[in-house]
Amino acid sequence: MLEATTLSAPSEVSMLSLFLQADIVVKLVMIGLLFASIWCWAIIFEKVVTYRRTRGRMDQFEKVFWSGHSLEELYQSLSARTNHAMAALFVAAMREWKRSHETGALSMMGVQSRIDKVMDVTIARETARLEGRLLFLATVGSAAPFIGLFGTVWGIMNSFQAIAASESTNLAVVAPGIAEALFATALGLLAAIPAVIAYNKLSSDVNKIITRLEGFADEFSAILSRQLDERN
Amino acid sequence: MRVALSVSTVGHAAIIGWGLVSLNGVDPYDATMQPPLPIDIVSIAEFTEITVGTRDGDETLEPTPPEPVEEAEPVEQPQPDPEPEAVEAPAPLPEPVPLRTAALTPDDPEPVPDPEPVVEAEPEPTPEPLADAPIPRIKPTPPARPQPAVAETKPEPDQFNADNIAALLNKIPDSGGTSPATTGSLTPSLGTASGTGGTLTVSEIDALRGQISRCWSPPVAVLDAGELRVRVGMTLNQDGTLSRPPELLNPSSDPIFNVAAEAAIRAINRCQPYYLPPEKFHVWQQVNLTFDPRELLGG
Repeated sequence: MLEATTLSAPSEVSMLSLFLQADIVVKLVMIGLLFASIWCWAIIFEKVVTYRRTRGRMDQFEKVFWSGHSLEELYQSLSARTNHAMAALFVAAMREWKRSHETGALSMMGVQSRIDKVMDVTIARETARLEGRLLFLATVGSAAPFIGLFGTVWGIMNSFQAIAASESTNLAVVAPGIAEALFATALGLLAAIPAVIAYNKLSSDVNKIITRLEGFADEFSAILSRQLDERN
Repeated sequence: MRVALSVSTVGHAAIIGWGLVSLNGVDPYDATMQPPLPIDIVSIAEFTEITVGTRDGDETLEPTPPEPVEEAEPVEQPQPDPEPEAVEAPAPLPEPVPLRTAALTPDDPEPVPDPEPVVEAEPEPTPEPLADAPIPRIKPTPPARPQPAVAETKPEPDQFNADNIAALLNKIPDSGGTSPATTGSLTPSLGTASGTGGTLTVSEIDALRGQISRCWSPPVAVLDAGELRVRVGMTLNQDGTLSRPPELLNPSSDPIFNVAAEAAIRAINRCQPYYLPPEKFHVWQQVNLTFDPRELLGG
């Protein structure tokens, strides 16, 4: 352990030398934090793109939906590919409606409750899909500073042991070990800060989308209910 | 997800690569190198404990560097040496005089040798003749000596003991307001058998003064009174406690003086035990101190 942090005053304190001089534990922490950061940013990119696309498609769908087109035609065009949450909701409700029609089981209350259930299930599924991996951001946001701090504490511990072994308190000897240890905390913060910000932003986005979905589900349910009333 | 992951990976790689290239170390602070100042740490005790010396002691003792010799100047008052020394120097030694050669053994048959004024940085004749021939120097006339030399006036070698030194120490305040630095430095010219200084060095006197002054709070009236010198003799045990109550050495009928004296004795009583080097117990067994309210505590 001590050999890993032999305190020879290095000529330069660059990022690479900071990493290479570090103890194996600190190295692992740094690498782990780097991967966490990569994965966080991947999730952020993916979610941002997904949410934007979802919002755009939902806007488009609502425009078509409220434009007075036949719901049957809309169902025909969307049933092949449901590429966003609202379309999935609509298709699920329509499918249930049509099945109830085909079997002729048109007791009003039964159809209504079945459709509501189907839409609830669909909303839950879509919510899970939209929120998936967001928890990882929250985890990284809260845990990464601690992981980095652990690396720092470990590195400083080793530094002090090496200082005691080398019996020199010259700052030029002491400083690189501490700098390299602090580098771990820097990486932890580097991973955690975007993760926290992105988690807050993305979870509020998800909530907006889900609220919108639920609003649409209620409205669609009202429409179907009115249709049922008219038929009877 | 795959796209996002690759984008993220590439972004991180780019940032790290940029960091490796452009963050290649930080600029070192612009610390202008100060030219190193050579510093010799010289304790005062080196000058006040110059006592070890034997007849057969050779002068190959490592010569003290010139700086200390220079620094000795304020300690040793300029000594009016009657005769110019270079004249009678039989063999001027090129190297600076070892400080210790100033001390001769107590049983030196010679008349009391003038302790070589360390002030003189120029080559001194002394060490050689010390071994083989008596220094052809006229016995220095005692009256010509300045104040600090009082302490070493004719220290008859055989009677040299700690009490004597203590007695000499007691004389110092009488000799007219010498600075505390000279008080403790008796500049012994003769060695003692124990080899260590036969006197408390200034630093130890200071230590004692510091310990007492913590407890000494003279009344305000005393502080205003001006010229008040309370001389107190204290006798200590080996463990630093007082073996006898401190006694006032210059009693007076002045009430303010008595207040000051009481304050001083109270301080001495309250601050015991005192922590002084135990190997010099024979020196600080009996110590006389002068309390001067104006400098809070005069040695």
